[in-house]
Amino acid sequence: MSTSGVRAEDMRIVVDIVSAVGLGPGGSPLEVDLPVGSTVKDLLSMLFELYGNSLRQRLVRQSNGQPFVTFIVNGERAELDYEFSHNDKLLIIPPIGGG
Amino acid sequence: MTKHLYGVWNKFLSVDLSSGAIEPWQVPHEYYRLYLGGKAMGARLVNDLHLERADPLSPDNVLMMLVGPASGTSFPGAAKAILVTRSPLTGIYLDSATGGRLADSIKRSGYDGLLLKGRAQRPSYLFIRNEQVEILPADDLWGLPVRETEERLREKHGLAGKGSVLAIGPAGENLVPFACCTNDWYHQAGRGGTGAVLGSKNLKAVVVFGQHKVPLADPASFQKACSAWSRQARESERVAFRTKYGTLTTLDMTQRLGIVTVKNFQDGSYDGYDTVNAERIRETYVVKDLTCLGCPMPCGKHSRYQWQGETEEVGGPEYETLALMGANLDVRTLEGIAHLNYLCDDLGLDTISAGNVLGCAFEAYERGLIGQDQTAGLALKWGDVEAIETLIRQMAHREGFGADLALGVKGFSQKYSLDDSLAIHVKGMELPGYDPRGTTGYALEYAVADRGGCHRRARPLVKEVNSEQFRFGYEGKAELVKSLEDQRAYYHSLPVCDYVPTFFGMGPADHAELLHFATGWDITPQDLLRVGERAINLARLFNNRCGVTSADDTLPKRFFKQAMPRGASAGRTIDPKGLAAMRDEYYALRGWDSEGQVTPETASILELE
Repeated sequence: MSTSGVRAEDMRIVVDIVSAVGLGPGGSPLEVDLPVGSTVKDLLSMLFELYGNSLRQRLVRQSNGQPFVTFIVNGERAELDYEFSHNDKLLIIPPIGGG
Repeated sequence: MTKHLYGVWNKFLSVDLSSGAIEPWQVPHEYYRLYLGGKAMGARLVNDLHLERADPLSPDNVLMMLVGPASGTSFPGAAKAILVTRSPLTGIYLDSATGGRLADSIKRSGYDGLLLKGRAQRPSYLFIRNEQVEILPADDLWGLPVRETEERLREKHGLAGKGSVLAIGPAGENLVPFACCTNDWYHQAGRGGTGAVLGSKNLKAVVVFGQHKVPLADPASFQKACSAWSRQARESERVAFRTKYGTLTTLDMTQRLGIVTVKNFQDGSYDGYDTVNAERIRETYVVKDLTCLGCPMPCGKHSRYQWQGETEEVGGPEYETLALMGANLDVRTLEGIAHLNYLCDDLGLDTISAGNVLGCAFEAYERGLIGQDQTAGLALKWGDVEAIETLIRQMAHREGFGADLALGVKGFSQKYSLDDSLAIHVKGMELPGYDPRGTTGYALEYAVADRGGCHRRARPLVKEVNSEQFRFGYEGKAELVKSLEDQRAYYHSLPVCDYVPTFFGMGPADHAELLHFATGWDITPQDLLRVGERAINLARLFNNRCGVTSADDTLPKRFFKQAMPRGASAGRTIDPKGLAAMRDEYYALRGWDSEGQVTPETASILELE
């Protein structure tokens, strides 16, 4: 991952999460560069490498690795197999709490 | 239907506080299939008892504390009791749910609910221990705050850690129309003034301890299924997330969407968010998780904090209190919000309504519409916790300027001839912590909800967060709100907590299966949703009898005229035509006429005659 200069075969994605502490140290949003054809699932793998277990526990089930959060790309819901386009904005939403 | 019923007792307890008469009371057998209990049963009974003829604070009004087939069992989420009455705040239908141990205690005393009417000649409390029912003097409790009342009653009756104690504070005694009832330390039937109704009956508290076992049709299958749900919940990350944060993370969402209620709904972004947020509250203040009886998802939070050199503890704060006592008054410290939460709880005030009427007054003061002549020299400066504390105490005791605030937003704004834009209520019910300019689903829900401006009848944000276009749009909202209302209404008729199905992943088919094991009835998922529809329609029939028409199904003018100034909903207003279109579509889906009246045909289809 790099945040300086996008290679021709890379896309730049902006990732954010609905949380006051962001994705981890350094906060959010975060700009990441991904190879063309990358999916939400690929991005998650990259984020887990970056932020480790603390982020993993906030996003996916321990039992099967399936997310319990919701992914919104450019204002619309997306699934794990969604393929990003350059300049997509991904927002991660934890389960809705209620009032 | 067989003569013997499983899962319910076929018996209510009627208490006439005027005469002292304590009697069993029954409803027709078919009511249990048509209405189950809780909300739908209450919505039926307010009509049967013609409470539209009763002044809400007169002896003629009846306060019902209703349970249902889920109560007193291991049914997931079964800790909710539903209080139903004619509201002194709105003058229309009111139900208000509370957790803790109340539902279990009532059910296991052998009742499907309590009906409290009349007015005791002296301050009293009701004591129920299985078959033993007494109206006892409460002269020594009158005037006490809620916590001390509960502590004294638990000690007197040997109920440490068992049974339920529900009490009102000074606000309820003084008939503040948004006074709440509190039970089992921190659980509230918060909205609409159930505490004032109890106060009008001279009833300080209800103490209940029941030990009967509820007879079930197929107890082995029922228990096996409930245990499986419990086991699954303990392994669920969604449940773990909910347990960790409770309702606190809702502020993350509303801040993100720009729909926090700030300075009397003048803004949607909260400048205190960096210091008041879920992560910080969890890490810094929460000392333990609190649970309703039997729930494997302890989503309540017990917070400890320092206030002016003293250690205070509070159950919460919940999201609504963060929004209305925090952001809406521009209080930017958790200690300040928690302290105000503590005060409202102990004095017996609903934090949503109190935060709204204070916000209304602070804005009026800021705009020079009221001054220190009216406030007895008190400056109303946003975020001034000490000034807010003074006013909360005055409100609860109906003293000074606080006596005017104690009228609620509608009464207060009328008294001071304030523009409707400042008066944030629907049908007299102050709005909760979601600005409708950034959620048209809530705009519709606030307009049509049976108890006035309320967020608990439907939660359209669950779908709206998936799409910005949908969040601001007017299409599809009527159908969404209706379906969510029907669902919530049957949850509250079982009754079960509305968050347990969401986080456990339980649907109507799961509930139907458990209900079959409990009662022996062959009941379908569609039957359950039909119960929800009946509840909504019966509440509307009652409201129609109270004079509610389509003209009342609207929003405060602010949301039509003033655009959200910043944040993710910046520039947004509610289009009056869009709201009217959603409302008309909603009426059509409900089978109501263009005036919002339940038609005879709809009543017939739903077997409401």
